[in-house]
Amino acid sequence: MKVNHSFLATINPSCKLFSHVLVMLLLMVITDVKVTFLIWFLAVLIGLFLGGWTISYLLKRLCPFFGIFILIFWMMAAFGKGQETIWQWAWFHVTQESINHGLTIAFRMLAFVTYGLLFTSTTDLTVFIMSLIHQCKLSPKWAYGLLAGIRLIPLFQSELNQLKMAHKVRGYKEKNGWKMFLSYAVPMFTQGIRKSERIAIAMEARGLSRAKNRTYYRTTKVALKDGGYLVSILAIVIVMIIIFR
Amino acid sequence: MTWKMKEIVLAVVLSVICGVIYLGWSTLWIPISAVIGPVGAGFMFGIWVIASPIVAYIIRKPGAAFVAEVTAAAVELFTGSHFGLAALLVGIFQGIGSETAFAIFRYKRYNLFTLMLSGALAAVFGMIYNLLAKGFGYYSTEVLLTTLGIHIISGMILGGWLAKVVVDTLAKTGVLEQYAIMKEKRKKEDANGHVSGL
Repeated sequence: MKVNHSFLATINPSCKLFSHVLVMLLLMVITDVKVTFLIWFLAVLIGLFLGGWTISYLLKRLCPFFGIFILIFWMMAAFGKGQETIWQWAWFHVTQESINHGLTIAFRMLAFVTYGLLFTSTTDLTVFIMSLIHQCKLSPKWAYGLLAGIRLIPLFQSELNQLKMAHKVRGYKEKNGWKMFLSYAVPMFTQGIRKSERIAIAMEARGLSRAKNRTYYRTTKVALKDGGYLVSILAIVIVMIIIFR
Repeated sequence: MTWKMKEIVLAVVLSVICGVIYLGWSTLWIPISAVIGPVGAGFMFGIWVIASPIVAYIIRKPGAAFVAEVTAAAVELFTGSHFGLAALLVGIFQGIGSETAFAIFRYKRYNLFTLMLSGALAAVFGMIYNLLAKGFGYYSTEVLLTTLGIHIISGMILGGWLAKVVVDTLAKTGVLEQYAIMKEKRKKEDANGHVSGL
């Protein structure tokens, strides 16, 4: 997760996560096309005005999802339930209701993606984990374990490449898909387990596993603007639901 | 029951590996589902719930299955994927499903049956999310039930059974000697040894 320098990047990550998840939960119970569209549009506006997005960034990031948007819409429209038939051919059965449902679900997916992007594009990973300790009372043992594990993601990717090259250089070819799967999975997992054991011992030796009342280099707090963000985003969404229902 | 540091890091690392596998699996899934449709591509579902049975089978502690699935799902969030937040929600639902399977047996039984049950229940809870968020309720009942059936079978085989095969293979390499899975095995063998010794 890379951060830009926008207003949204200064919002407390836990608070931001909580507000976005709440909006997503609200989206799950909304079955109206117009309201769903507006809530998605709200995310776009937040991104442009508070999240530091540019129009070209937005288009580049969201473009691939318009394909999925059409796919979801089509699946729901052609295979969904409904009475008022508009068009029927072979097993496709498009109805007034299924078109409505298709648009709702497709916009909901788009909104989920946009709120997700709003979070990941403005949140620093370390600050997020720190805020989980301070605001969500996650035990530091778990938080540091999590950070150590996340650090390994690029390492695993390079290890996978190394495995591939080692197979190639030794002329190892496996036709059997099942054996090939194990020939990659077993070394990956065993290396991962060995590494995790060493990391855990190193972390214990440095006192990272100890009690909760420790001090931190970085602390995160909830300020007025964090609460303000949560309340205003929820208020706008609820007003939209009430007006356009 | 408190978690030791090495168990925490092991759970996180295994979940992260599973999360990376999930990401790769997703890129495989899109072309296949475009060709044979999302209902048929449901047979690939099981891999997405494999983290829970793997971690729970090794660590054998309450909460292991839930934490594993949520962490594996969160890998997408951590790598900055757009689907991050949605994946996190799916992970929470599937994690609750997996955890239920082990909780029913009070975290005492870890065999092929409970592992497959955890895959199946993860599929059921995943379907609850699909109903709530992806509007699966708008599909006709037959489509819905077929999808659920395919997901459950896939969860049992690609989730539960495959997890057992992978972990048993790992146990043979000797890297798991320090964890609950091998400790319990040794205890059982000791007990049997004493009985035969009498």
